[in-house]
Amino acid sequence: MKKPGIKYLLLANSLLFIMNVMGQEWTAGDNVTLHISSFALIETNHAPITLSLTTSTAGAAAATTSNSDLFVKISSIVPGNTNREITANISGGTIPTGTKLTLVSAACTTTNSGGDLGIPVATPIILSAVDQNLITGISSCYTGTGYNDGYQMTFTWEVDDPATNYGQIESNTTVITVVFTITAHDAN
Amino acid sequence: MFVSNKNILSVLLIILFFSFSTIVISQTNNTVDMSINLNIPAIALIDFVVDGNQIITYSYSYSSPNQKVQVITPTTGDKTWLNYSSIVQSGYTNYITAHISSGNLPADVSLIILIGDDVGTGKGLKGTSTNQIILSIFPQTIITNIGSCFTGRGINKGNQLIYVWENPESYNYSVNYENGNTIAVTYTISSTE
Repeated sequence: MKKPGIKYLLLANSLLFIMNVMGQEWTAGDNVTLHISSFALIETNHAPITLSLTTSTAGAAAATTSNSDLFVKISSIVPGNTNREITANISGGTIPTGTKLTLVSAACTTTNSGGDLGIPVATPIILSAVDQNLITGISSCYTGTGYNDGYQMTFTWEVDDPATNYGQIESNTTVITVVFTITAHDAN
Repeated sequence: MFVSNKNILSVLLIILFFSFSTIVISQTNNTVDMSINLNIPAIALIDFVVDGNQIITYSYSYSSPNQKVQVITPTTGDKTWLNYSSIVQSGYTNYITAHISSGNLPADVSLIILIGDDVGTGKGLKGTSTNQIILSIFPQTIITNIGSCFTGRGINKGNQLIYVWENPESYNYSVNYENGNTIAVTYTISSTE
């Protein structure tokens, strides 16, 4: 009668083990937790872009010029019922006086992509220091990783309102930096 | 004991910090940068057009984009229009000169160009006409202070040139033509740079 408690504890313990063993016979396994983190990755094909505003015809205006070499690639996982956008702004340099640089995205290429790739904004944005949407409604998706996979971007450079601004154009070389952003997913 | 409590607090804070930071990472905007080169080369382009009604043996020869040669006859009259395109560097302008580049005028014959004002076609900072020159083999300015602009192409665009001969009877065009002694005028657009 010195330590009766130990006997009870041992008994209880052995019963527990038995139950455990029995439990294993019935369920045979553990819970497996599958966790999908939300993420958003963005990259380009690093196509060099040079635009030249000029003409070779006497009497003619400097012609509007375009470049569509750039493709933007993303991978995105979002929580249920949320979306991301791809936006663009100018983070460095200044657009030459009297001119405007616009940007519009095509729909994502289909060859190597999958998921909800969003919808391009149809009207070209006039690039500025403020972020503007290029593609909206992006959910979980991937664009592919090839050089010509993803959203094809078309830059167009032209004289902004020639009647007013043509005289302000000056010959020069400018380098600007455009930043593409894939946004955090919106609120659920 | 208070030291131990402090440690626990720090550990909790660190755990809290990391758990928040993982959430923040998944919410963060991700970006990619892209350099874009924008070039505006300097331009100085000149050309002329002649109203089609004028009979011209050969209209012009091509030397370079900033130089054009026109053969002048006593009937050239007022049918020539200068068209140009110009983009200048900051602080500079373009100007246009004219000179007789081939053929000889008899000593008693003068060839004058009346240079009309820009007629308002095209856009930008167009030049100022010098109104009138007596042509020689030395280039003389006919339009100055041209900024970044274009005149449009064709007749009734840019500046009208009117050729006036003094004592034209002394210059017998048909004989000179047969002798390869037609008068050619070269128009040149240059930068003050």
